[in-house]
Amino acid sequence: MAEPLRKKKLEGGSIYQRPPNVEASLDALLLLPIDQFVQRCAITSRGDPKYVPSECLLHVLRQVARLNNGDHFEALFGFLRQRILKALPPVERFAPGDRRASESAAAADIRDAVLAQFDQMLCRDRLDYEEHLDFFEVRFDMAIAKARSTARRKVKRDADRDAPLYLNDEPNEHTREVEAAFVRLQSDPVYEFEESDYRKRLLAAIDLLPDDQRRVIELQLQDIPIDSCDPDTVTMVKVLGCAEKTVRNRRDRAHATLRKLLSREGESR
Amino acid sequence: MIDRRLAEDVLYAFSVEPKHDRQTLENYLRRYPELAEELIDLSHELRLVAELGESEVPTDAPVTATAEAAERRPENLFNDFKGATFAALANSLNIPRSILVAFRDRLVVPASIPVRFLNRLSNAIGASVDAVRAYLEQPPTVAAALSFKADQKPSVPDQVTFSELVRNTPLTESQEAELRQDLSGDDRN
Repeated sequence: MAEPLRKKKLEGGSIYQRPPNVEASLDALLLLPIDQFVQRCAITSRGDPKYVPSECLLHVLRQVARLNNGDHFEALFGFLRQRILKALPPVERFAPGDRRASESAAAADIRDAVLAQFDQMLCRDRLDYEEHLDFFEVRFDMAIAKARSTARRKVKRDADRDAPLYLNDEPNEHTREVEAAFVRLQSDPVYEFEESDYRKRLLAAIDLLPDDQRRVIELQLQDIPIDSCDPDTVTMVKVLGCAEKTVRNRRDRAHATLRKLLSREGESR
Repeated sequence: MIDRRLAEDVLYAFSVEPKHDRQTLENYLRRYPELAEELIDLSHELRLVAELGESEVPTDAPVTATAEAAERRPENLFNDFKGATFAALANSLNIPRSILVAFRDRLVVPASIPVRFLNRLSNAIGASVDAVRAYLEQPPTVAAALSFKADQKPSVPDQVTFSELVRNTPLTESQEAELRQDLSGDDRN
């Protein structure tokens, strides 16, 4: 059995556990000689039966790092970096054509910042024990989303990202197709290929919104109401700490911008 | 103000939750209202990861090395081993990279290669012994990088025997022991 994690949960104080499938993979992989393990880490296709889950790769890398096994560390570290890069969502690929270059530049900055965070955590782990790495042994790709979120806050985004995207239309303009797209995004996890492509472009466009508008859209996608008479209900007004009118204005501006981004994208395709 | 270390714990805890639905987000927003913006941003990031899929790995990245791939392209046995994967392959065989380069470029007299080593190499590459033998029996190649850098087209170097190669390569103790076993299991030179 693999060495248990050490990070305690915030509530209840029990120790985090790897999911059963990760534990089972680790049990099998830890029986392999290290050279065979390293070799299998080269497999990049998740569909391959010999694919090593990133959670397991990281676990062994941490062990190897503590043993100061330079050769294997170097190889595993190289593979892990590739897994990190792969786990970052390819937002720029689905961004509207005229925003792709600036998004690629932003994505490169974010990538570097995520890799730097990881390097630091691995260094600390080698010297002592970096409990935050435990989260990556639980759900690697999702913990990478956290790392990307932190990186994104640190990276100064491209100047035109913060520039107003949409000035001419009235904020309250009717944006029925964007509303309809939201409904599909919220309610329909199973979709056809074209629909899936549209969802991806919509998400990439949401990603381009200014922070305050993007947050309103994310809360809307989570079905959180703008306001409520019930004091116990989580609402946008409470969470964002602003007036109902402000929330509505942000939402309407966001919808108008999304409509414009997606129709522009339609023209360029 | 919430302590930064605790904030990191909260955000990581949210990221590894089994579900990122309304209920999960509401629970965190209730418990950590100071982190509302960061939690909402993270919720958006998690959605991107779940919906947009993986990024393409850069071209210099290790590529898939499966037995099937190797079998399909017997003439390009080392195509799946570049950069870090090439180093990993050398490590897994417990030989210096320079020896593996000699094999890749077919600079070793095929008949001089001990059976034990041939087995080890084919296992590590994930190809059959016959496929590896067929690869090594083709004429030596000139490394592409070498052709690129030289003023004149470099001539194809002469092949060496396996034991000469081992003798002329600096080895660690463990590499030497491994290769000596390869050689002692076989009387070819």
